[in-house]
Amino acid sequence: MIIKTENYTIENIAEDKCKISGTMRLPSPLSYDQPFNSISVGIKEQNTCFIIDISELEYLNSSGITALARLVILAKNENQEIKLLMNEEIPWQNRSLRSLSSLWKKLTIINI
Amino acid sequence: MKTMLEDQFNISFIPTNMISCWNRTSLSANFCSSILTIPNEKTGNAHNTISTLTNELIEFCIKYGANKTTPYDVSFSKNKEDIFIQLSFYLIPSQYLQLKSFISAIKKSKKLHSLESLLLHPFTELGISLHSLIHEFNGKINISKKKQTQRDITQTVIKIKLNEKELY
Repeated sequence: MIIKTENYTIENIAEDKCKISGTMRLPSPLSYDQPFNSISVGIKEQNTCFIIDISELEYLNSSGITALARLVILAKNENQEIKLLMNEEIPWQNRSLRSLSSLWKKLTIINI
Repeated sequence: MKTMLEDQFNISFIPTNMISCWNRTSLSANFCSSILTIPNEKTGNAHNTISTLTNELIEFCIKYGANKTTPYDVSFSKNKEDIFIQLSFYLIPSQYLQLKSFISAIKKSKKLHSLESLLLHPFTELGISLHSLIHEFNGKINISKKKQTQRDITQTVIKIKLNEKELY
């Protein structure tokens, strides 16, 4: 499945892997529910580790970080291991994402 | 937009105009960042950082500000070392007090262990960006009341100071 808009793309590249790229600055955390729905489903349904690749996500606003944090909390509630693939050359990722690891011990953040 | 000096400019916008076309918020942030940061080897990805911070400020005042049909201002200036961003907008007095105490609490909390509790706060999104601003970019932030424009509305000013080197 692929969601493609003028600003961002969300692609389920495998059953256990999703890639988000472009710019996501939606108005509220709630407005991320629909685009992130396939990720939520993946986290709930996968038995293996679920991978979220945001290495080509150039911008994400704090509503998006909140939505991402809620996905991490969902994984925690489901006892699901997740990996977040980031790009340390994108400053907001390098500075803001590492704090998410405090939310769930089975979240691994990998720089690619 | 009014442009003053090479290193000083401000934008005025009416929140309802941004709400009607949300993408304008992001475009304005990118535009301001392009003026403030000239991409070169030294500045690296500062453009991304300034755009992110500016976007958060504009989004915040659009979401929480009062008098949404009145122009709000964001001004930018820089000297050799620092970048200054000043946001002037309107809040209802109780929100002003709530925001002031929230900023104070975030200044004191270095770890984001409280992120889960932050997710339940009415200013969740602002909290995350302020935490990043203060603890990851070593930014200085101050909030003050300028004047009571109407009985129930307070003109609020948020001033941010960032060392340019922290952005590289």
